[in-house]
Amino acid sequence: MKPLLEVVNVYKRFGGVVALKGVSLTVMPGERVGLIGPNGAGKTTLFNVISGIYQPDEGKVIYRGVDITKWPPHKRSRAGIARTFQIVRPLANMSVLDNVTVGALMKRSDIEEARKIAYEAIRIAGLEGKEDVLAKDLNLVEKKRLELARALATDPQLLLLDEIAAGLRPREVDSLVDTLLNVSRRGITIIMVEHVMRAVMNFAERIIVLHFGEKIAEGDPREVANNKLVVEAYLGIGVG
Amino acid sequence: MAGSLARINLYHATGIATLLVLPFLLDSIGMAFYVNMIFLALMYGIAALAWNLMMGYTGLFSLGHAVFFGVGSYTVAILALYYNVTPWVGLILAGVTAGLLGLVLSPPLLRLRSHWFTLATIALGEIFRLSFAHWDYVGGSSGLQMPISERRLYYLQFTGATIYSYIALGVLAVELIVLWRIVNSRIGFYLQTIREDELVAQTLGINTFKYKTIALAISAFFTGIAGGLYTVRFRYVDPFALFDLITISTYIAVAGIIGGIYTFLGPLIGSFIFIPVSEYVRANIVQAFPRIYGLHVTVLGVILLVISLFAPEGILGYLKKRREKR
Repeated sequence: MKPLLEVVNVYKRFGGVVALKGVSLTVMPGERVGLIGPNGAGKTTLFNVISGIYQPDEGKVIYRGVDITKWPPHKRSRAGIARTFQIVRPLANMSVLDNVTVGALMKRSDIEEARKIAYEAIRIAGLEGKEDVLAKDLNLVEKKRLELARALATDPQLLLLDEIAAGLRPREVDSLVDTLLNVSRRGITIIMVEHVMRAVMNFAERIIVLHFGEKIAEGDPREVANNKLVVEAYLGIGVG
Repeated sequence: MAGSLARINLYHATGIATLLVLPFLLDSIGMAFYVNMIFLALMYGIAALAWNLMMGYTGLFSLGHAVFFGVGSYTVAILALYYNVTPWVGLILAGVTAGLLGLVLSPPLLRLRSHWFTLATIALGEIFRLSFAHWDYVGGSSGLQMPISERRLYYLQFTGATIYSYIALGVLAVELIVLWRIVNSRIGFYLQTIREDELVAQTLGINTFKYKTIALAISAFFTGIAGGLYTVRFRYVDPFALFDLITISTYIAVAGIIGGIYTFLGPLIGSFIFIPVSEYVRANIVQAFPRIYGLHVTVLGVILLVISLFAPEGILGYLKKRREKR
């Protein structure tokens, strides 16, 4: 099987700060990947490079065998790369249904058809009954689910979730993970950036650890949790 | 839902009937001043609706619509004067010229965001005013006079404002249909997404530059036709009246804002409130206090202040909100 996504030796600098130092990773179709690391490790920067918001200074992003490093964001989403944002970005003055309909309009121009897709995405994301509420009137959990529904409505192959569980209560996290496992079963490949261990451990089948812009570990969740480097990166040397 | 729809339709029907009857009625009872007011409200309303495709729908705040308005005006005048083209055709070409200008100006203008975009539009208006004032082909600072001819229908020369009002109504009807179809299509959704969050728009597959360009070009098109109506009605164009920051660019924006930028018909309603008030204030205040220059603008400013305090979402926005609360 060919990989869905390959990130090859990516560097990204902001002034004097090197946010990514030669990161490489490969994601296979249908995988559930967790991307973890302490604050400032470069996780969101990596997402921005994959979704096209940033251009890497060096290295390549290859999607389905095509080099998309120079593609603008809208072209990447049309090719099937969808994402959610760490700090939720609802289209505040539009209803939930309209928010999601915009996503569905990417692959069809008929409004009624797009609405049907939107209703389905809203149902999968667990927001049923909120269709007519203005996005700004949702609570945080609902806004996170709205981000998910909007991304799903674009009918993606690769879904990038940026801290979708942050700020949620444990029970809300579990129910969101259930939703995501459902999404994964539909054949959508998911990369999840996450601090909430409860979410990553229950969701990911493979975890990649970034630390100061470098990949320091990779493996199945249990392996990674016991990795000495990872423990040090998170807790600091000398503790535990 | 059905009830509120029926009520809206009743409002619309009343509005259409009033607009159709009023110019003729006012004219027949000899109130020419008010017929002219209606013409002006229609002309500004056409421009304000177009302006709002950018402001309310796309989030692009232009204070330079005088550029498209003025270029439309000059197009009608130049075609009639130099090429004997009837303004009937000139009006359409006014829209085409202004729309093309919008396309040409898109790459530099749309690179700029929020207030920088607005500043650039203001600068653009000044550039056009000064350029036209120094350009001999368009009559320089003294402007151009439309030809006076026996062929009245060909050159659209009528007495009073009544017939012009009906021509403007025709333009308005076409514009309303076109804009309504656009804002309720995929383009309308995309423009609103860009307004709310350009980055999200891109991650949803929207080529934001392309759709902002579409909004700008369509907006410029109808604003150009509004400018063409000006020429047809007043038969004289000059750079200082047409590329004016206050009486064209700002008046168009004010009409839109007063009416409510997040509503479809708001800018038209706003124009029918603001233009008559401004005309009335101008006629009466200037007459009463001829020696205090600019007093009528001050009075207009106070009126705007009051509206912004009590109905910050505009008249139609305010009414809509009140109805939703009930």
